[in-house]
Amino acid sequence: MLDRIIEVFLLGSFYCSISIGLNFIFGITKIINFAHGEILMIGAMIAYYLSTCGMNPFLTIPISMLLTFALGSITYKTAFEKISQNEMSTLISSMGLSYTLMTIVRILLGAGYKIISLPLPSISFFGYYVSLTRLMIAIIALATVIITHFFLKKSLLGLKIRAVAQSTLGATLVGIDVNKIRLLSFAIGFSLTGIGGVLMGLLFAIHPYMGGFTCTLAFLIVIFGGLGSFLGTIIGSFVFAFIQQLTILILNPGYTYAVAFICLAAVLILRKEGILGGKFAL
Amino acid sequence: MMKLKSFHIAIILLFFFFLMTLWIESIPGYLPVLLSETIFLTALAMSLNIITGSTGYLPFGLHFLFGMGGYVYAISIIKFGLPVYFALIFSGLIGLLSSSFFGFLASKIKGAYFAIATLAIAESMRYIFVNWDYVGGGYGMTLPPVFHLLDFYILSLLVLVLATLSFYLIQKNEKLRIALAAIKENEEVAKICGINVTWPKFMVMIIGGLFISMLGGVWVHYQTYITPSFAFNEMYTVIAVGACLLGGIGSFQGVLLGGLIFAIIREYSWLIFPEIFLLVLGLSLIITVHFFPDGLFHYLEQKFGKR
Repeated sequence: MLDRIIEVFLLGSFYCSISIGLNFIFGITKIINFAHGEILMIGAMIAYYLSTCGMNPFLTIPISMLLTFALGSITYKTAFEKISQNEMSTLISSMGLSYTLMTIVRILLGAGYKIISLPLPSISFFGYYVSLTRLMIAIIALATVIITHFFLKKSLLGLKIRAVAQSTLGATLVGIDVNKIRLLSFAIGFSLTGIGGVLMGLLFAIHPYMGGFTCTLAFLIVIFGGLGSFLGTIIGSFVFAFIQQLTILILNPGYTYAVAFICLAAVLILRKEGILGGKFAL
Repeated sequence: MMKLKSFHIAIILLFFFFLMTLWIESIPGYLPVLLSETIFLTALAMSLNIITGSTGYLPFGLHFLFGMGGYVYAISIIKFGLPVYFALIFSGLIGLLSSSFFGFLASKIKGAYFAIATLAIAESMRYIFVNWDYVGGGYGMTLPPVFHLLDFYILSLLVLVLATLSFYLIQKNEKLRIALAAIKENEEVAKICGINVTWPKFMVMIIGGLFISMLGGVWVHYQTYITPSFAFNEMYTVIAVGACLLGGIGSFQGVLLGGLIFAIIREYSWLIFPEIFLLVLGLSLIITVHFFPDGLFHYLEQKFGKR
């Protein structure tokens, strides 16, 4: 029983790390980013290539953040800036971006499977063995969420970002350069996703098409928690992991995703704007 | 005048496609296949247009309806030995049933929440079919090979014409059209004005779902096999949405144009640049939304004016 609880904790915090960037981008810029999976994949690729140079994969996180930040600013400038007011157009644009990035990565780096080898021991915990890698992933994921939260609540830039998220017009009236803030928060969202990508690269085999399903997963978690709500995303991740583990325990492991997805849809029917009902947004 | 003109062109085009049924089997080579698949994709886009073009709701799990139709078709052929047309009727029926569930969802949630909730249902359905041994699990099923391109062509064309006709009739019905336009613009205000917002949405949703599921059946008939990841594939949704947006969602001439152009771009980029096919597709999506935000049809209408 305890092993399931540990698993929920580890898996839930991992889900947090892959979906927080998506929520950040949507909450502030209102862009539904379908290229999320590809950014995760690029983060993982960066971690892989740096770790083959002899770097510790956990130390590649800052570099991955920087590179995805740059990628975020470039893509916002090229693919989203002109059409950022139209929700449908940005959705389609991000879908196109997803295919574009996927193909570029495949042409440049090949479609083969890549694995980051990280020989870390397992530690004993009340008679159960927990992989140190996964524990580190969970800690980094939760630290990312907490730091992002305090960045938004305490810093001046965070205040500006929250102002833009709440009302574009109001933010313009008090003299905030809305477009610059949107660009910045889009890039920050990408770099948060870059962290998630490195963590994902440590757990799974890396290949150019790994993003598709993860993107769907991140979307469902974010929607479940409510778009633009960080607390919702955290709750969503853990609930999702919990439902999965419960399904494994009492039903068939093959049905984990099916049951979890149906539960998420059912919750949406009961509560229109995610589990928190649209409260606790940015 | 322009509207009338493009309307006539659309009708002539459909009529031309009907005439093509006489020769489709005698044309040698690749062209008939290309033409049939183009018409199939256009029909898919038109069915999506019935839903999204009139209500503004984007069901991102459209492949749920498509896959259900395909599976019911395959089950009724293989397990019950029904003839093709009966099987297609059953696909249509399951389409009505599944899309009435979408209609129920639409009465509860909207916007991005609706889009992703339908996606959740489609994905979960894929996992259920992977684990269901009766339909062959992840291996899927193989249909008896009765491949006729003519069948595929006629059936796709039939669905295309029916979908176009029902979209036209929905837009022709003044009361329904105004109700749907109000829902598309601002649902809350429409509700306050005393418009029944549930029924028009539900009706449009099941009409669109009926056609999408039938197309699922037609597609399985053409491909003669079905697996869960083939039937519940996001690609169909992407194609339908891309074609709709390229042409201009909300007008049937636009979607007809968009479907034809999109299918040809897709096929030729596949043919000429097999390596970077997805890159071409992705870039064409980005370019479309940047340069023709309201679709090609709208752009042409503005450019050539109301003559």
